[in-house]
Amino acid sequence: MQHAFHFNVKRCAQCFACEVACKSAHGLRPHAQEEPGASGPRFRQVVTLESEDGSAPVQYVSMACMHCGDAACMSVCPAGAIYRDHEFGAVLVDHAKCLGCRYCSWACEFGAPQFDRDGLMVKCDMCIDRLREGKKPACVQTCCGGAITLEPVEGGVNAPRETAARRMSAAKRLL
Amino acid sequence: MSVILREERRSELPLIAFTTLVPAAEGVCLCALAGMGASALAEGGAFDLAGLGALAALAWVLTSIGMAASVAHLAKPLRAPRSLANLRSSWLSREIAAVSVFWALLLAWLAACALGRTVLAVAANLLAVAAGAALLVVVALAYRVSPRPAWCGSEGLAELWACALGAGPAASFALAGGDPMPLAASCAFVAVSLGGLAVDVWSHRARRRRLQAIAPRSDERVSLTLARYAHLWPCVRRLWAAEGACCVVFAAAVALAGVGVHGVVVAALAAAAAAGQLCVHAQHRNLFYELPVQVRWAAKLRK
Repeated sequence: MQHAFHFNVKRCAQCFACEVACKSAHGLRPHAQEEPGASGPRFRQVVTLESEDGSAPVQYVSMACMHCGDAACMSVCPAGAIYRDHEFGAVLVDHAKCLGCRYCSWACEFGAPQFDRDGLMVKCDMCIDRLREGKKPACVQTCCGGAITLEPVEGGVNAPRETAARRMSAAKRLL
Repeated sequence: MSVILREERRSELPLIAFTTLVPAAEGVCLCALAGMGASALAEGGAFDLAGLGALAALAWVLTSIGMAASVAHLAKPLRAPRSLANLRSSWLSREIAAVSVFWALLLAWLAACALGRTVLAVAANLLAVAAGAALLVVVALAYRVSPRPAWCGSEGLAELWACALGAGPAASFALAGGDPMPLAASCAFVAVSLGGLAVDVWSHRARRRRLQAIAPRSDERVSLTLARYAHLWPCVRRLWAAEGACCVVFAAAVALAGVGVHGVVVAALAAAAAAGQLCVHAQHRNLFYELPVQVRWAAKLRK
């Protein structure tokens, strides 16, 4: 069944624990010594959003790969290295097939594909190994505020679209 | 609302080489076809197969270097054959297939000229021109990715053709040894070269107009890209001037050939014009890669 990350922006305290847990779980190097100020690959990134005129409150958003239902990276990869896991719906990359052409990084709206020192693509894999052991992803496990959860999406990969379409249809009727 | 990703400025030199040399090869193919047709009409069906072979060799070498550069762009070059694994949905896979077909047809053209097989050479030239035109379309489509609005118009294809029209005539004329041509042919070659400049001017203006038109109803990527374009615009103007200078040098070479100046001098001038065109178009491609601002989408703020 398709799973998806849910993020409750009101619960996020910008503690960055999800980022650290993710980097630790995947053994991602910071590259800080080679490049001062660098952070290396970050599968999950907490970003700060502020409106220009200060009219809206500051929000923190923890973003990772969206594991899109219609994943652009999957359709554009020339080597067919990006595929979807059937059990959890995670979009994964096969490093044995990846060419390191970086085309997926051009196609992704969310900046999910990143590249480590070997030039091959790395990204959030929904902690698929932990999921198969019955555990939660590292970021979900670590989030102290419960802002990040991983939940099954009923109806498969098209369910969010169908939900949105129903809502839009209902809104149109009200108008 | 979006977040600008920390951009790693990576040299796209291999891709610049590929997207400059391959259109230049298509330009050479076109000039060969046009020259062959013109000389066949003028000389009653006869044309210089050896000269045609030289042009075939030039086009094949340019394409080979471009393909080698694109393989060097990969983190794992030895896995390059895998790039044909997703023809069903990946425009990049289709681009690799198309350039492979183009390269093979150029090789067939070269072989036919070397073996003195006139009909085969003509057929291979024709097919190579068609394959090259299709290849340029596929290359342009491969760059149409939605996160980069600057790349999503028809200007990309126009710029590839501008390279073909700009570099092709000068390179072909230089390789032909700077022999004098009939006046009509000379004018046509210079006009084609100037046409490449006109297409370049149009493509940058059209891209900027398109982005300005969609900016009010689009996201920050467009406005950030426009700001970057404004910063780079003086460089664009300098490139137009440089390209114009190359056209003038080429026109001078053609004129000198017409008045009987020694072929080596004329060929050298034309070669300089061709090299200048390649450098200018490589810089146009560099600007193409510099333009987009990568952002990461986040949820919209709610008041």
